[in-house]
Amino acid sequence: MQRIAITGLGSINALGTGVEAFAQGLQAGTCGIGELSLFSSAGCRTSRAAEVRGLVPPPWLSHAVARRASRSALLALIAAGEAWQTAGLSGEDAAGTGVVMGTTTGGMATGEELFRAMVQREARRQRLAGWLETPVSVPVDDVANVFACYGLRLTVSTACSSGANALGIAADWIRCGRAEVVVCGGTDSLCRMTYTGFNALQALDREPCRPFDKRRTGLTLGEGAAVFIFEDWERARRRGARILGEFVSYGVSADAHHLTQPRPDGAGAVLATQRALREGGVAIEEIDYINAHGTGTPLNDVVETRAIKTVFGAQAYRIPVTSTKSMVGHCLGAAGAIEALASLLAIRQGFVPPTATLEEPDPECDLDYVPKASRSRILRTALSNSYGFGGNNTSLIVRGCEG
Amino acid sequence: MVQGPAPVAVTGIGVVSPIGLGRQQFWSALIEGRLGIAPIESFPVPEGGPTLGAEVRGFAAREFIASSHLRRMDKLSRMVVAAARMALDDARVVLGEIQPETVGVVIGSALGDLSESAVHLERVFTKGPASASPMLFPNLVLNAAASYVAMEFGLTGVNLTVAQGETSGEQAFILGCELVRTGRADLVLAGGGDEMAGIVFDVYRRARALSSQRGGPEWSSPYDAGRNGIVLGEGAAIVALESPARACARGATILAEVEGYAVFGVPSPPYDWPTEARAALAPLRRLLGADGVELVCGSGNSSRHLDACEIDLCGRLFEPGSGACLTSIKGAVGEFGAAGALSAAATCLALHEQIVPPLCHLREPDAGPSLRFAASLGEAQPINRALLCGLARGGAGAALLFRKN
Repeated sequence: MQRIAITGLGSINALGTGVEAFAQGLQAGTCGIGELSLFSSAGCRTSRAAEVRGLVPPPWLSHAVARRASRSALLALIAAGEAWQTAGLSGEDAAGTGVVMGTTTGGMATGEELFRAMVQREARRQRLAGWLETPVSVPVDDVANVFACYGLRLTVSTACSSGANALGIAADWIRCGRAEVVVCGGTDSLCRMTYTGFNALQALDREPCRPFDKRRTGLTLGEGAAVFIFEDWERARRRGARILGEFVSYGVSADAHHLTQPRPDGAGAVLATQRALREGGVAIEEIDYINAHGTGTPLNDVVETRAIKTVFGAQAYRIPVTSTKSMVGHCLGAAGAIEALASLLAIRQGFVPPTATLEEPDPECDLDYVPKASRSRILRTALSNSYGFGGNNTSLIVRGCEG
Repeated sequence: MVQGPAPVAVTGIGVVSPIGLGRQQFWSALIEGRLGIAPIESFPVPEGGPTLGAEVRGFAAREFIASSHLRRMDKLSRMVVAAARMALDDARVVLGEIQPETVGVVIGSALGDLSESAVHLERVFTKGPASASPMLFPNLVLNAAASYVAMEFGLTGVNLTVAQGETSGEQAFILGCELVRTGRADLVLAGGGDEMAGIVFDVYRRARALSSQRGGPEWSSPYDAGRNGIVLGEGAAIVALESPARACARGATILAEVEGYAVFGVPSPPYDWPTEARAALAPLRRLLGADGVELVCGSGNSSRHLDACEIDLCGRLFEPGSGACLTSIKGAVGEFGAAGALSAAATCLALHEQIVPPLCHLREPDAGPSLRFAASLGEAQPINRALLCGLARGGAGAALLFRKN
């Protein structure tokens, strides 16, 4: 099977701007969860969030785009800019380059603010552009237009597995010969729509989320973006690009069970992981690390643990399984991409990111979740799980490469 | 595509549209030139402006949806699930006889369940977060419709939801073909849907993009010199996709075959349709190869911009006298995010029935003599290959090349 080279990386989330800040935060076990400041959380059960502080448009972004871009679009552009730069791609490469990103809310943060002003009858002139910034596909259009990428273009929106699926689709585009270079990842900003929605579902933990902890009561929302440059392996070598890692494979399944709850037997999650392993020709013995979906909701963490044990059998107890949502929160449509990036950074820098907020493990969750502090370890191949609302399950596999 | 990958067979079509439910109703209304456009009934429209829309009427979801999930489903999900049901029936797929993990679902929707999103936010902003309904929120994720399809039919295979403006329907169709070609699924339900929500009408009205807002009659008249803006519509269309070998093995009728597809971007002003799409020429020429097409089903939506852009593109793509005939179904069903899914259904049926879908309102084509436009009623004509082409605000483009089986 044609190999997919990762030649560019970009990141922004509550742990900081840039891949280096993310890697440092992960290794230090920093919890990026704090108090929500973007909008009022009055009337909600919590005010916790993993917010990106001091978000400003990068200096290279044109004033016109900076002025109209939604928060999600801005996060995507910042991460894409870093990825583009690390890949060392030229304007000539851009013309045929594809863009595929996952998001659940797109420019909703912009649209809902206009909607608020409208229903609360604020006498303020509304710019039409704000409404037009709202649809989920606008951040992808922005990335494509800003970097002049006129190849394939797609927005994936499968709730919390959106970012993971975007990476898989990017790999398929290259393997099917439809693109040689693809900008791919995920982006989502905090917004009232999702904050109040998860609040209504009573799915938010009052404290910073505690995946796999017996006191866990839900998730903490976060925001951010992670962007990768995927490239045909041979092409990357020919142009002398620095290959940072390899995207091996992915697997997708549906629960066909419930809109918000996972199947108790974890069968959908199992199928997604088995498909990823089979497609990549990866044996369970080769998996050195699992970046769990690990939301911190009572149901997810138990079902995911069950699914991992079903797939890996006795091997499950050997493999460190961690939830980096304990540090960057649940970034919804960006989560899958952020966690694939966390997995790759762990491989590249030789450590296992911790489940930073885990103190009292749930007896039903009995794997090695690496509580509190990261662990030095040589890793080669990692699996990352993402499970979305609606029962969308995706597992993906990334691998390091020498150099 | 000289040595393109294997074709994909379309073996079933399900439609919930402003001009009828199901493949037969949709097709006969379309070729008879019936319009789905009428005064909007589902939400109040401000006085003194446009009043028309292409709404889905007379749609009783319970006739198509058996499960108890129905009462939880939003309008868009109901349209999509009903269209999926019809596509399965049309393809003569018996659910008990297939392995559910081998069936994929790919849905395209530009905006999702916007009307309930507005209800959720209105509650939050007027009565506070505590008044938000936990029953409502799960429907607001864009992939709710695709998930309801999985739940309704017990389909545990690949399940994806995509969006890219007005190419959302085509993009889902293309991704569905890709799942068949890569073997990620044996059978795929692919297509899309979008609903007409009051908030969307309001935004288009403020943008003065609706027909008649800048003078002239209120109508949807793609490619006509007198076109004056869009009429909004809604609907859903789902097709069943599988490999021709699989279709033949189970004795299914192949309505049309997908020969290839292309997705591309063209420079575009923010939020608007491209003013010219010359960048689309290269990918479209690669897709078409040396052979011509008899039918082009465009995305012309009666806006000044997009239609001019498409006419220019077709003029460059096809030699005068090439035999390619241009049509768009948006005169009948209006414009909406996943309208391309309905256009795709119409293109497949045109190949199957050998009839060119009409341009019901075309009086004076806005182009030189080199282009041939469809007649005002469906016209029988040999069609061996047909190109479906969609352009979106923001500059995304998607095209599918179909051929007669």
